[in-house]
Amino acid sequence: VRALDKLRLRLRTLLRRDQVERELAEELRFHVDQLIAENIAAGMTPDGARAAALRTVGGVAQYEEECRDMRRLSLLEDLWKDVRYAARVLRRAPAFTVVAVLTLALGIGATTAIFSVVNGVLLKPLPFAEPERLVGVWHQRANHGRATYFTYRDNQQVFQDIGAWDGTKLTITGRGEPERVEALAVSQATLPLLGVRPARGRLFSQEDDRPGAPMRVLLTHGYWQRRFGAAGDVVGRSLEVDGKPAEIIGVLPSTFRFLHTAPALLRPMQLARPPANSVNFGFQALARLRPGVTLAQANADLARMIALLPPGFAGYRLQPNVRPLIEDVSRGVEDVLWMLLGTVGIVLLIACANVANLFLVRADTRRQELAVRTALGAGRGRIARQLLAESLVLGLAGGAVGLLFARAGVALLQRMAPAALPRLEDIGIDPAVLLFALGTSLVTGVLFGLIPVLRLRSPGAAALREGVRTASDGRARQRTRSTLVVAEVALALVLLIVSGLMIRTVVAMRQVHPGFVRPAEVQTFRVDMPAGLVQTPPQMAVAHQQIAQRLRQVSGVVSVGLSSSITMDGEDNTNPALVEHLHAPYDQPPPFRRFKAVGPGYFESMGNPIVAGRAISWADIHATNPVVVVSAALAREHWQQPSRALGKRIGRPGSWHEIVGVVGDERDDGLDRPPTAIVYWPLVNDTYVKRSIAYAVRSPRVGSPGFLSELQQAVWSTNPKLPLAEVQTLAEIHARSMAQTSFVMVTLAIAAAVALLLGLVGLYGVISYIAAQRTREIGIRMALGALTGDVRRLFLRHGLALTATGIALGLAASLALTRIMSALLFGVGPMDPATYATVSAGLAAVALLATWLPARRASRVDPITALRG
Amino acid sequence: MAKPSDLVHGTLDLLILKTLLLEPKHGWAIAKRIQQVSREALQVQQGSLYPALHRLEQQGWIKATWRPADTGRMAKFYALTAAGRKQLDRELAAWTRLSAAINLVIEEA
Repeated sequence: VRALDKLRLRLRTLLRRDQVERELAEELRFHVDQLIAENIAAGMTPDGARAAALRTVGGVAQYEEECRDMRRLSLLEDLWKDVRYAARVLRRAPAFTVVAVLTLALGIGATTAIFSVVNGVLLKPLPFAEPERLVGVWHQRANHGRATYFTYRDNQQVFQDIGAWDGTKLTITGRGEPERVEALAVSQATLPLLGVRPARGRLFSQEDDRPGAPMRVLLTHGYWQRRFGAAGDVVGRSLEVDGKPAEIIGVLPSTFRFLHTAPALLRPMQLARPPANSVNFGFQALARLRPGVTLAQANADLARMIALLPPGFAGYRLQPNVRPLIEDVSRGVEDVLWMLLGTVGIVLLIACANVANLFLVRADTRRQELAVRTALGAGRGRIARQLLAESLVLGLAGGAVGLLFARAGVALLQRMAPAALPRLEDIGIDPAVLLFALGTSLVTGVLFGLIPVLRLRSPGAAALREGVRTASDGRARQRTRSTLVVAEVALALVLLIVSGLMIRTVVAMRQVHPGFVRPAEVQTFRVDMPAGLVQTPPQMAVAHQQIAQRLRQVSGVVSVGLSSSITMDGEDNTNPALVEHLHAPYDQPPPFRRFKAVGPGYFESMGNPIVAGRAISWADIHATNPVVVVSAALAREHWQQPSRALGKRIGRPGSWHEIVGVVGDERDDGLDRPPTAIVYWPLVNDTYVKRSIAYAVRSPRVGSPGFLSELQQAVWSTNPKLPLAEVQTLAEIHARSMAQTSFVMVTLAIAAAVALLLGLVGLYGVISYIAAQRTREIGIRMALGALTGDVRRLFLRHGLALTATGIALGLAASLALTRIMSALLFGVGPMDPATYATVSAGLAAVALLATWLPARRASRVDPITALRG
Repeated sequence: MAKPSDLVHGTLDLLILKTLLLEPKHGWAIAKRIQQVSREALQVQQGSLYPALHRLEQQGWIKATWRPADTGRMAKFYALTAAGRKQLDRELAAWTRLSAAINLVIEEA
């Protein structure tokens, strides 16, 4: 309590200064007046009494000062005084202040902007109750199927509960235009274990989740507002989902977010127990750990349960992988984001070096002021503190402006990167980001403030006389400045090389043949035929053939193709596909392949050539001929040459399909991934049937007004209840597949450009400053017969020495650092000699320019003026 | 006027604390009280008194409040805190030891 009282008193002294001063004056005056009163009582005249009293008490001001000393919280108070003085000093040097603040703001702003992304995506906990106990339940290389899910749910000992989930799509009809929306299928336990509470109605019950139970759905807040105008009586209403009525049982709160998904509504998974020894995968699971259970214990429990799975799983050699749920969101972007933060950190360092340089220059011009203060009794520590206060004030001002930059930067990132970043809505300036910006500003202030302070020598009395310099002191500072510039050049080179490698990656990715040509001419969209609308797969095939025919009739259409998935549209499935006479079932993990169900015209529309054999025809589909087409990658893997695949059979025992054609490769997993091994099934088959089929329509009219609605009308002319979903051109899909790489490239390029600019400004500044300092010397040299070229060479040599050292150090650092980013690169090695050489040469060239300009100015000095001045 | 004897260094705190033991007083009253009780032998200078008061207040040994003095004018009254009472005990003990030691030296000599 006493310590608290003391603190309160000190804070009062510090913050309520005026009141404390008033009280002090009043207290002393009271004493004097008492003395006067006593003197009068003793018989003196009022004037005499007053004079006598003042004589005895002496200097009131001195007592006041002594009392103040007793109260002083000296360090803090002095700091406050220093800060106010610093602000005054900086106001008197507006050009210096503006340049320094802007430089710092650039560095702090960029760092804060990227940190706000790191914070939103990686650091902020997921918006669920006690998120630290939530885990994603995975296997090392597989997700879940019914067998694993039920086995784990029934036998686990480490989870409070375990829930299954899967992203899916649902067709909504019966309310205006039919539409296909993102949805989330969850088992009953999933939402309660996350701690989700409904805003209206209720969550799914055990009964809702029973296989075969009548369909019930939950609306998300957004969909409830968009489609139902936030109607209060929505619970209990019915909705047509996939052609069947479904009751709305509740609405989720507006705060509901689920990992990277953006569902419109949720439905129960209604999982049935699997038949004995069936092996399948295809959905995800999450769980809440019991209090006190560690990840290692959970993984051990999963390993125990893997042994309980049916024997068919033995060949898969499943390994447990229970991990924090947040990794389900941050995987894939984590490394990228930390790298970007490191990158902008380098920019910040360069900014610091630049401002430190400015400070050194200023310290030179302020020698006189500092000398006066020293002569008046300020110690070295006092002056150091003063300089540090100035850099702190600058740092904080830079931070404040930087925060504005960061806000603009975050808005830009959000616009630029929707496809590249998860949790976009969590990215923004929040208290954590503010704290980060404040911390960065303070650290920055100390960082660049410390350098001039360490270089601080007590200026001798000579400095009091104007225009006198001590040569040795100047040289030490010169060395510091040169070191800073070398560091700036080196750091800038690292960033330039990193962004150069990234640019080469993007170029290389653009040259990859993705499995299609001229993507801007291909319009894609999905048509879904749920069982409620079209009964059997053969009927579905007839309906699709009819739609394809109508689409072909739209003017300007060159070709129409159908496939359950378009290249790189994110549909990702992997299924076991055995080759007859090559694989025996269950004795080893079978090869996993991407499956697609296709109709005629798909390869033609995409511009993917048939390498051998033929495509699938409508006749194959209607007759359910046991045929397939495979991708060249798959054919090469088994038979080296695509043509040798023809006639071989693929599938599973009892259902073999003959390979009738081989097509060119599709980069289905992304441009930077190897070509995907794909099995193309006829639209109707006994293995892989999809009710949602994507159309690829090639036409030079793609993108022109009216074309899309003509296509829509063509589809609706066969059945007005069919929704068109995921309407996008192939070019858009292509761009999205490059979104993350482009995002990293653009961010790095901006960072590198800023670094280059700051580095050049630093170099230019130092050479200019040296030239200005040596004006007199140059005058003498020239008067003694030195030529303009000699003088110019003198400075060029100096600048080039700095640049060369910087480049050498930067190259060494790049060789060590770029290895970290090799996972981000494609088609170019982290030590690509061409990139290193080009970037170094480019940097050397612009550095030469930055040196040449001040060197030329120096060589034009008029000897007479220089010597007279 | 005979010059009053200088206070033994470090004893002013003790005198102030002791004077405040009975009741809260303002600075003037403290000085007067010390002067009276010591029969004018000890004169506390304003220049020592007020810095000492502020120091003791910072230490948390005394506590200040503004209230009307006898004359009706507002004055700053200092009162002993619990911590101050303990400090007084400590200073008294120290003083007793010191004066006893000095007496021994003087009588011996």
